[in-house]
Amino acid sequence: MMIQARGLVKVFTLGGTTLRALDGVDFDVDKGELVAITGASGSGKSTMMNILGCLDRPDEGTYEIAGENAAKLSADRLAELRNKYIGFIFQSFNLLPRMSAQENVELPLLYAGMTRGTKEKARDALARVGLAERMHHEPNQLSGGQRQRVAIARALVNDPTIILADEPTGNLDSKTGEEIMKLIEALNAEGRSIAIVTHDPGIAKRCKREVFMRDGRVVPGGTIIRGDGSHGTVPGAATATGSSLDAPSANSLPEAKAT
Amino acid sequence: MLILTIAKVALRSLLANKLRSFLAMLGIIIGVGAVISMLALGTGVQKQSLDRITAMGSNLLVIRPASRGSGGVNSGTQQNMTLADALAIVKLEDVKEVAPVVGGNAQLKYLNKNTRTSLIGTTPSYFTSRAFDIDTGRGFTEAEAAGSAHVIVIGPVTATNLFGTAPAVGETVKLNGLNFTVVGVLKSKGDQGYFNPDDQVLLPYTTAMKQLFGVAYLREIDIQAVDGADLNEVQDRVTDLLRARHHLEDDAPEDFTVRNQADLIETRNETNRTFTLLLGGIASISLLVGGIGIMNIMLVTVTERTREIGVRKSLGAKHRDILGQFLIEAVLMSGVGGILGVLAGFGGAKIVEKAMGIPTIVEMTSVVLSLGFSAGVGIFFGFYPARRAANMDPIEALRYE
Repeated sequence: MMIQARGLVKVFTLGGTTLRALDGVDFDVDKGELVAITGASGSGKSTMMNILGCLDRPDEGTYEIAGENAAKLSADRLAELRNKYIGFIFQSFNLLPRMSAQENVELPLLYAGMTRGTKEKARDALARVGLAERMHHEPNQLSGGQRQRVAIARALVNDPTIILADEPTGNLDSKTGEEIMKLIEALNAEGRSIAIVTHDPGIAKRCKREVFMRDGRVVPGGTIIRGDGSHGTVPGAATATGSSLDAPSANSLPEAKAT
Repeated sequence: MLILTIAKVALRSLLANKLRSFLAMLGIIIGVGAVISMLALGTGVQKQSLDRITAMGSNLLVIRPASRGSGGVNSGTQQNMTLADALAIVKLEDVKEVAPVVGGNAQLKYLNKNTRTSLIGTTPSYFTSRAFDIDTGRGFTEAEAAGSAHVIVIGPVTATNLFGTAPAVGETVKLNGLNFTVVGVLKSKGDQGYFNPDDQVLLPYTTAMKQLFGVAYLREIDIQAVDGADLNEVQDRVTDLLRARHHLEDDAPEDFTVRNQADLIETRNETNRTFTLLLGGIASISLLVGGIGIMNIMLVTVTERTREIGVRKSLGAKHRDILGQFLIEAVLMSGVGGILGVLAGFGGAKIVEKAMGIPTIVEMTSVVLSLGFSAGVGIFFGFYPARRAANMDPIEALRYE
C-alpha cells in the first residue's frame, strides 16, 4: 500500500457555517495503480487531493504515505514529503516563467538538496516525455501540450511514490489531451502509481479504478474496478467493490460507467 | 538550494521588470550616492581646514584680547595688549620668537590702479611663525620694522591686482597717501575661503601703528615656541605673565585669550565632525526611504508571484527556501543599487568639487560602509515581504489567479 488514508475529516468554517469538506474518507492507492477520483464540484475531491498531496492536513483521521504518517506534520516536513513522494500535474501546467524546461524540471531535485547531476536527470525526464529537443525552451515558447509534458517530466523527475494529476487535460484540446492521457497511461504501464482527479468521464473510464465522491464521502458502491485496466478501452466485465449498478444517478457520472 | 541558483533566478526576475527594478533601486542609488558625496564633502572640508591650520606655521600660540562686554553682550575687543607685553613674552622660557600684530584695511594705489586689501603690521618673525615664504625680493628687516620704514611685502594676488604680470619689487605704491616701496612678494598659500592670505600687505608694525592707523594697542601677539617645547606649558607661562602684567586679581577672568594650534585643530575637528555627521544623517534618511521603496516593490512582487510561490511549495520548497529566494532578490536589488550609488557618489563628489570649489575626498571606508548598509537595507526591508511569501498557504497560493 503506497497511500493509505483512514477516516479523513476536513472541516471549513465559512462565515459562521461549517462545511465538512471531507466527512470520514477511507482511500488507498496500491503500487502501480491508475485511479480516478471523480465527483461534482464541492464533492470534496479537491480537498482530498490536497491532503493526499501533503498540501494540507486533515482535521481527523490518519494518512500514511510510503509508511510515513503525514497527518500531523509541520509545514516544512510536509514540504519534504511532497518533494520526496509526490509529483503534481496541474490543469494549468504551472510551469515557472523565465526558466527553461530543463530548469523547471530541475526544481524538485534542487529543493531535495541535490547539487550534482540535476541537469542530467532533468534531461532524462524530458527525454522520457519526448521533449529532449526542447529542454532549453521557456514555457512561453512551448505549446500547451508541450507545457504539460514538461510538467509531467517535473512530476516524475524525483521518482515519486505517487503522481497526483488534477484535471491534467482540462486546458488542452481533445487531440492534445489524448496524447497526454496516453503518456500518463504509458507511465502507469511502467509501474508508476497515478491518481487523477477529473470531471471528464472519458478520462475516468480509462482508469483501472474509479472512485466517486459526494458530499465529502466516497460513495459506497460508487467505486468501479475495470479488469486489468487495459488502456483506453473498458473491458467487458467491470468488477466493483460494491456493485457497479449502484452507481449514483444524481451526478455527472456517465452512463458508460455501468456496463 | 544553492545560493548561486537562487541568485540567477532572482536576477532574471529583476531583469524581467527592468523599469520597475530600476525605479525601486533609484532610492538606494540616490541614498548611497548622497551618503558618499556628502561624506566626501565633509572629509574634504575637514582636510582643507587642517591644511589651513598647519599652513599657519608650527608651534604657534596666538594671543588676542578678550571680547569686551558682559552677560553675552559683545561690544568688540578690549584694548589692553601692548608692545611691552610682547617684549616681555620674548623673555619667557621656550619662546623662540614673538610677532606683535596690528591690522586694518587700506587702499593701495599704483599709477591708475587701486585695490583695497588688509594690512598686517608686524615684525619679520611673523614670516616664520605663520610660514610665509618670499617668492621674489625679500622680507623687511628687524631694523626696518623698528624704524618705521616705508617698505611693504605684498601677497601674490595683490601683486597681480596692481602690477599685472610686471615685476612688483622695487615699485613705489601709495598707501593712504603715503609712499611705500615694495620689497618683496609672498609665495602663494592658496585661497582659504573666508580670507585670502595671498591678498594682503605685510609692513613694519611701527609704521602701521604710528603712521597708518594711529593705535597703541595690538590686535594679536603671535608666539612661536622652540621646537620640542610643550605648548601647554608655554601657554601657562604666557598666561601667568600677562595676568601679572595686566594686574588681574586671582579670581578675575582673563582679558585675553591664548589659543594654541592643537586647540584650533581640535575645535575645527569638532565642528567638522558635527558637520559630517549632519550630512551623513541627512543622506542616511534617503537611504531609508530607498529601503522603503524596495519593500514596496517586493510586496508587489510577492503578490504577483503568489502562484509561483504555490508551485514552488508544491515541489517541495520549504519556508527557508522561499524566504531566501525573496530576500536574495531584495538584497540583489539594494546591492546593485548600492554599487550604482557608489558610482553616483563619486560623480556627485566631483560635481560638488567643481560647483562649490570645495575639495572632496571619497574615503574607502564610506564606500564599504554604504555598500554594507545598502545590503543591510535590502535584508531589513526585504524580510517582511519575504516572510509573507514564505508563510503563504500552498493551497491558497496555487489557487491564486
